[in-house]
Amino acid sequence: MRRHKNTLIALGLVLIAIVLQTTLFNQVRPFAIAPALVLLTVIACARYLEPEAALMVGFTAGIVSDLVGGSSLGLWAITMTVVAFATVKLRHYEVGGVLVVAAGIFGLTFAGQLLYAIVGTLFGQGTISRPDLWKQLLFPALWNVVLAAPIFWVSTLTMRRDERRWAL
Amino acid sequence: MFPTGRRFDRVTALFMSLLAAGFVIATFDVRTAETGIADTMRGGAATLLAPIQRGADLVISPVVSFFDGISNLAGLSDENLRLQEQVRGLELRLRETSALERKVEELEAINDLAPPLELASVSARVYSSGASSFDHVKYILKGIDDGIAIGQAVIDERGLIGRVDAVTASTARVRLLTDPVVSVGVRVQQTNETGVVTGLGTATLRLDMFDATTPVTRGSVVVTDGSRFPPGIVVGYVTESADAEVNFVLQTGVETAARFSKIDYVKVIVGWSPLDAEVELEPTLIEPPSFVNPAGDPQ
Repeated sequence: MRRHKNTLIALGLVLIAIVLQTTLFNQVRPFAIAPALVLLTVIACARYLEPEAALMVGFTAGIVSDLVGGSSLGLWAITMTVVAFATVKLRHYEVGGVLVVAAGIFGLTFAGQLLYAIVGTLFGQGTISRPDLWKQLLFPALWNVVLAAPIFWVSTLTMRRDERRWAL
Repeated sequence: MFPTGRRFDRVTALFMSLLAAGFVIATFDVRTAETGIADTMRGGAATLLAPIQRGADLVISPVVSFFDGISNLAGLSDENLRLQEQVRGLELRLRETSALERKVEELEAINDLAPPLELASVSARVYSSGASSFDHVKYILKGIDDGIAIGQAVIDERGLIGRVDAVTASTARVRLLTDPVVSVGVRVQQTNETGVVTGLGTATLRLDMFDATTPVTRGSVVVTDGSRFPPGIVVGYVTESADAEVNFVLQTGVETAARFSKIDYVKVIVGWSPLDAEVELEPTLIEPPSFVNPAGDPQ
């Protein structure tokens, strides 16, 4: 029951992140590039979910992002599933401290977006040939490190740290 | 396939299944573009999320404007002086323009020319964007009920923004010019030769001219050629001069006229279809405005 409750909370947080990503960050775009808020929310929630639930939340977040985005359906679903899986596998390093967490968020966001660019190119989106690709990968990753504190605080508050179960 | 039943295997199996599902969905979507169930799902998602996004936009916009205003206070004094100077210049130009307008009216009367066609358009507010920085789409609060249809040109006061590529009863998705999957037929005004601009994900587009015989110069105005959109809409300005070489494609950059980072309202041209191209008049020559800075930073 608790597990399902956390999954529902995670889906609610993802929905809020998608609304904020498409409205707030439609207007607030430092250097013309927005943070990857949905990706960050998936990372934040995957820390506290059962591995299977984390994967399902990642996939669902990706599908909804694809539906409201302009690219082919399934590309963000693949990306966010991989990011959720990587988070589940790496989350036990969180005890290493703030710097480890920051590096993890930066790395997961950067790698997730690079994966999206590669998969997007395979499906004809032309993402990897963009002249400012490095900006598209780097800036959201930096943004996400900055936004991690409030997002992690909200996810911890709503999903309660004491219920966390690590991967076996 | 995963007979052990251990936890790790279940997770890995689910992971692989979801990846496979993602690839199948993506392939299916690409293969059935604009005809498949995926577009129906997109329409449904847009319809469901639109009220929430509109509500969020109503709350967020004033807050963002407030903070924008505070951050701009420091620059207001300089801006004020610059605007005063600009107003004086514009007043001078207005007097010159009035004289020219009278001349044009006389010439039109003499030549019995019809005035340029006024195309019907619908104004719309932008309320949302795509879900990531990789998405070059905007959502507007007008749809089928307002006469919006797929393929129509979307403009702002500076020039072409993009085209409508998905529409529901009350909302529409605009695919921006900057999207790498968007190509637009254009004409360089100064040479009157045609080419194609393609998005690169930035404010600079790539211009390819396959049959160019004369060079293009930096700052030249690039307008739509009338093949898909109404002719004469400003697309942008050439950023680098380029020579036409026989049997080679002339390739250069075009800075977009529209400022994609600041789009609040747009106009959708609803009163034109490519079939109208044959009856259009030759569009008038458009001068690059004073704000054009082809070599400057992206807008």
